[in-house]
Amino acid sequence: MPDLEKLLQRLIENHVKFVIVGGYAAIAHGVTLTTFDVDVCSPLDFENLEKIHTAMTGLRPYHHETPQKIPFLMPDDFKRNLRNLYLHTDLGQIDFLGEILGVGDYANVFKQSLIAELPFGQTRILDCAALLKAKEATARPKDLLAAQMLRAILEGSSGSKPKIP
Amino acid sequence: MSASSNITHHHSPDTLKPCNPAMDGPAWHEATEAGWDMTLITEAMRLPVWERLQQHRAALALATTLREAMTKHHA
Repeated sequence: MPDLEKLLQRLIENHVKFVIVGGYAAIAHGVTLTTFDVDVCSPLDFENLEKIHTAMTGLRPYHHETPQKIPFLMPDDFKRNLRNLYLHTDLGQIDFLGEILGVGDYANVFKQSLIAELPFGQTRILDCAALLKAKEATARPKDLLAAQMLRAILEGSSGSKPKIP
Repeated sequence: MSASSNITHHHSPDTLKPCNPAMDGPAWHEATEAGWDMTLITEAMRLPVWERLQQHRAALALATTLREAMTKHHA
């Protein structure tokens, strides 16, 4: 079974710059769907790629979009001027996206993110309004399903009340 | 600290926190009409983020088990 939390822990512990986006972010906001992978928005510059590479040490990472299962190696990958990085690892699949449709590049995504406290440290998650924009922009059937729930969550949380004991 | 004692406004500055959602808006009704179980979403929104992710983990474990069972069944 994928261990997506362990993957995130590795990213945090290795100081990788990233914001959680996609289905896993939707789940963090309260959407009740299931996903087998995690998508993050990351700058894919040399410095961050090195940190990603270190974070994946021992997990046998390879590019899952390649039929030959090409291993994720540094600095070979940097030479390819990556826009996205789609990795399969022993802990599960993780996609590093250079930009998010409907939201923009990492800087824009970061600006529209929230802090989330996890047991192994803080991380950033795309906020509900921006995630909704991304889902509506992508507009695949599964994105539109998530968008319907995100609209309700966004509306519900805007008018939320503290719990009365 | 229990999940319920930690409930505050969802949109505290810059932090994703548990909340008690308002359930009377058009988008909420639309999702209900579409068949989503909004009680599950309400419960999830009342939990801290980590607990939401742990609930997903449990669902993922079940989905994985079912997937493996189906694979064996069709082998």
